[in-house]
Amino acid sequence: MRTSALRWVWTALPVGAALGLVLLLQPYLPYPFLFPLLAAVVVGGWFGGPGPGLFAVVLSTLAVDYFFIPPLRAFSIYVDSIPYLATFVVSALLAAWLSAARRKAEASLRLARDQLEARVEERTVELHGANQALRAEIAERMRAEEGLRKTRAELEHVTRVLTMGEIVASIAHEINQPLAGVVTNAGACLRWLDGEAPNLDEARDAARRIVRDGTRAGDVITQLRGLLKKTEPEKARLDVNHVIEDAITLVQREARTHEVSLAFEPAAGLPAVTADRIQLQQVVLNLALNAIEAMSASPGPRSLRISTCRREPDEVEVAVEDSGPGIAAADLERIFDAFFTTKAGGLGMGLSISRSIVDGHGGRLRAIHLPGGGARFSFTLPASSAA
Amino acid sequence: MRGCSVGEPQPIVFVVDDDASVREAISSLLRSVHLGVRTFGSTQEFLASERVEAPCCLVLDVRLPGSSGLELQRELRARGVAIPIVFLTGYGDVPMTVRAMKEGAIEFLIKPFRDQDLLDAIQQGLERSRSLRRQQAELAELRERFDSLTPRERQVMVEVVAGLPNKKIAAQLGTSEATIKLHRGQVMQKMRAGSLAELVRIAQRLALPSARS
Repeated sequence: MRTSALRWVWTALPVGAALGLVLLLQPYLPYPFLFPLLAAVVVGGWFGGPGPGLFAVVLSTLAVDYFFIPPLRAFSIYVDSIPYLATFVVSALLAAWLSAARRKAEASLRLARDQLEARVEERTVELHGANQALRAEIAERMRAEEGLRKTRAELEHVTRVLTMGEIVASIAHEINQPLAGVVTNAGACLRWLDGEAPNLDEARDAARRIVRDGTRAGDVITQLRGLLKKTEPEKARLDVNHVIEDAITLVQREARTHEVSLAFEPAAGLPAVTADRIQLQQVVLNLALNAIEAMSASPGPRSLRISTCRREPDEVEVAVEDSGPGIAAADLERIFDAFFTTKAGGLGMGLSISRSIVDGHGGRLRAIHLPGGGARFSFTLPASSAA
Repeated sequence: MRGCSVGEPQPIVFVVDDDASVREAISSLLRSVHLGVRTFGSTQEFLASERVEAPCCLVLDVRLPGSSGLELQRELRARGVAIPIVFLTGYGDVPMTVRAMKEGAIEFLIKPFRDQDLLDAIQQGLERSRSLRRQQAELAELRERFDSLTPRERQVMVEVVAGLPNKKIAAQLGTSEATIKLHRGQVMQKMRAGSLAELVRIAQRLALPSARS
């Protein structure tokens, strides 16, 4: 901001300069040349504002009167020159006023713009802060979701381990039988070879059985290890029938122990599904073991039927049917709830987890009470989109 | 084979296990030591099979679908079939083992077992079967001898082993002491008893009424 004294000087200066220019050029021009003075008034009004503008008008009017209006070189004036001078004064006043007004408008505009800029800057800072907070919240939420996912995976794992615990005797038997076969066959093989007349055919047969039984025991262990291993779910294209066959390996013995006849009816030509093998096995295992347990008190013939079929062109259905007592209407709505169980030692997590696994695969797990008695659990899985 | 008398029928080992792998393996092992084998997948199948007149032994899985090995053991006992049993099991269960052994099982082997252990147990079972068969044959022989006695001689034998003197027997049967002496001689000869003590043992084995005291 200039000091006010400087403002007055700055106003006088253009007037002086204009006067100098006019006096310099006048001898060469045929008529009074006053326009530079008007320009000086405009400049004075512009830089000085209304007061100095008026001052410039006064200065230039005096200059015009003194130098251009007869009698020349005097401040006196003839009456007939008054309109001329008045016209000049009015023009100068108008120019000064317009200039000052324009200057003022521009100044307030600049002020408004500056304020706006400040406000925008302020809001930008605010927005930045809000953005930061939002980002932190999102990160927090993602962490929470990750934690939840991990917890659920762990719960699934624990339930799997517990399920395995329930049928550990059956599984041990399933491993022990072929192992007994291996050891006994090996003994037999040696005896066939060691005899006075070694019987190579018999020894060879025994060795073949060793290979077969050893593989069988290994398969059971592979299945078991897969189910007990703590792994992140990993989806891949699978044949549902294979997954079920593998799960059946583990429940077969349990079914026989409970005198349950187990039938698997796989549909041919099913489309592949995209799923996690272990989770899928867990669901099948759960449903099959539930069915076996449900029938263990049934007096009649106990049958467990697992089947697959194509529901829609792009949907595969797996059904597990038993000939047990079925599901009470009141329970039908609650069986999928966590911690709901009708078993004495049940944890009530099996069906709840099974449903969340099926949901996670974009399918549906349902239960119905069969009209002839027994229960039917079925779940659908969408077929893999890639053919 | 040890203890195998000439003319004795070939011993047979029955194997009842629901697992085909185990059946095949045991069958091969037993055939490799020249034992006769018959395998069955269930207790029902075994019960439906025909009896054999030979020393035999049963290798039986404890846990079988349908009826368990222990139930078969009881069923066989109820039917009066005396066959030594070697039990196999997937896992050792003390109460189960105790029960099986109390019921007269030869051995209780836990799978996977050593082949020699199984063969030893089977040999022991066959030995017991042979001795049972011998005892049964002897008993049948004694019964045959007893059956060859006249009714009068049987009466005399009963009283003799009861410890009565000839005179008393004569009085009881209303005959002379000399006649009783004659009958007594016949009894000792027909029963091939060298002494009174031996006759008493024979009477005990035949479970004659007087032998109760």
